[in-house]
Amino acid sequence: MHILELNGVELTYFDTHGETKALEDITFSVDAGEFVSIVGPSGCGKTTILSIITGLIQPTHGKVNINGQGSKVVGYMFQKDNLLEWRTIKNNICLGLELTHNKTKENLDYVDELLKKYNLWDFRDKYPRELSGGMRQRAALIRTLALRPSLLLLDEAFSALDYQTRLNVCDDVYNIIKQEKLTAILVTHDINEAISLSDKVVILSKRPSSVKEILDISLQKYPTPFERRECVEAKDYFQHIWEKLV
Amino acid sequence: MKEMSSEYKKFLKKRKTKNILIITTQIGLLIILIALWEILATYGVIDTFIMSSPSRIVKTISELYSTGNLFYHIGTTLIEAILGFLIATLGGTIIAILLWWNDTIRRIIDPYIVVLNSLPKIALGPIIIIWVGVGMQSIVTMAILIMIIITIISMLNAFRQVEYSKILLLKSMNANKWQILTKLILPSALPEFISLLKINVGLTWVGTIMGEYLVSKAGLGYLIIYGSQIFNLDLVMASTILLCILAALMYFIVAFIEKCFNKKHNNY
Repeated sequence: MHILELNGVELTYFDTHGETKALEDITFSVDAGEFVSIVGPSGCGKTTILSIITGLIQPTHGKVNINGQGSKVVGYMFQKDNLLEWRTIKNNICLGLELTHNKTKENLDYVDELLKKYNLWDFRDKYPRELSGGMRQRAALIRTLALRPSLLLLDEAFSALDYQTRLNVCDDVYNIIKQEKLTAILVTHDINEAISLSDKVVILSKRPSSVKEILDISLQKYPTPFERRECVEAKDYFQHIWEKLV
Repeated sequence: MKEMSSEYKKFLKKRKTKNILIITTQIGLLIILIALWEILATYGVIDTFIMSSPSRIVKTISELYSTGNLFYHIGTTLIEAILGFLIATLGGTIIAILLWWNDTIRRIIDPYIVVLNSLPKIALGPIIIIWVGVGMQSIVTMAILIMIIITIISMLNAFRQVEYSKILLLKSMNANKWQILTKLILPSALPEFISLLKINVGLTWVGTIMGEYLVSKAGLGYLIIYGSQIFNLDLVMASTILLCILAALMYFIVAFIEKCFNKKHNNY
């Protein structure tokens, strides 16, 4: 079942300098449980696509179909963890439930369960500044998961971290996504990251961008993103994507 | 509690000694200045008619007290200062919230605020008296005018400085504008609000005394002006010193609030 379908999505935005066509023709679909990455030259409107999927921006033309259930179908994870400094980790994680008036016993139990499962239980009453970058990002992920989204959008979610932390958090987040059986779309400029995490890579062209190619990645025999980064096949995928980008 | 090393104990002791030294010197300096002033006055080196003296100031204050006027004047000024402080701080913050809420209104109002901010508020004195009337109300108005523009500007600035990605995060979780305001914008601006309190607690005295100079029948500013007109420097000095004490007290209250706030924040 397609959980998400983008059909001929086009976006033109206006400012005082004139009109800019950001997206020309974006068409792709995502199946339930799939991990899809979007790569493309910088400034091609990768993040814009995520904003359109969340509904923060309306496309000029084209259709977006999301089939999912839950209080908030789409969960969004940013480059910055955006944890609120005056709230404890637990209160940060409950923010979404608070905003959607869903702070029920059931949902709070679910938050506790997530906190325990992903090793943040001992830090639930701490403030964000007491946590390391990797833990903060994990807290940000759990904040998104608390709303039980069917579709998770990761917007350069690992780019703000230093390289070593980044590799760890990458494995960490990947495991959580797979354990919770989530569907995820990752926007990244890191080709290796895209290869190591995804089942499918959507390659975009320069602005006004359209889908250049949808590349299937079959590296399932390697269990972790870290191993996939290192494997021989990854180099071929890298070469292929690299050539498409330039 | 962890065991302290002897070096650390030494360090703490050194710091404590230094602190004590500073405080004793501060108090000592004050005592010396007052004593010097008194001695020079007693031996006629300085003219007490122009310079007054500590003992004459104390005498003036006790006279004010015995005629029952002391607390009347202090009370009047204090009420004006507190009223001005509260109205300007809260009113200015509320206006800043409205301007944050509606960007069109903000853009319309913007040049007016800039001009009003650069205008010396004392120039409005005569207009205030005519429009608002003689009495406490025009003094409070003067104090409000001095504080409210800077309050609006700094609070609006703080609201607009909140990171856009945080707003986006709340929006992605279906937050409405009111939720963005109460859950994100206002808590983010709390540190700026606290430092604004400290600025305003100083400005409210400027406004109040300026107002009292222009139009008043009571208050410490009135006593200063009245004293200078009848060339009673004892009264002028006594009122000034009372004013000093009041302003310092109010400042310390706000500083204490800030300290409590910081303590809570450092526990993060």
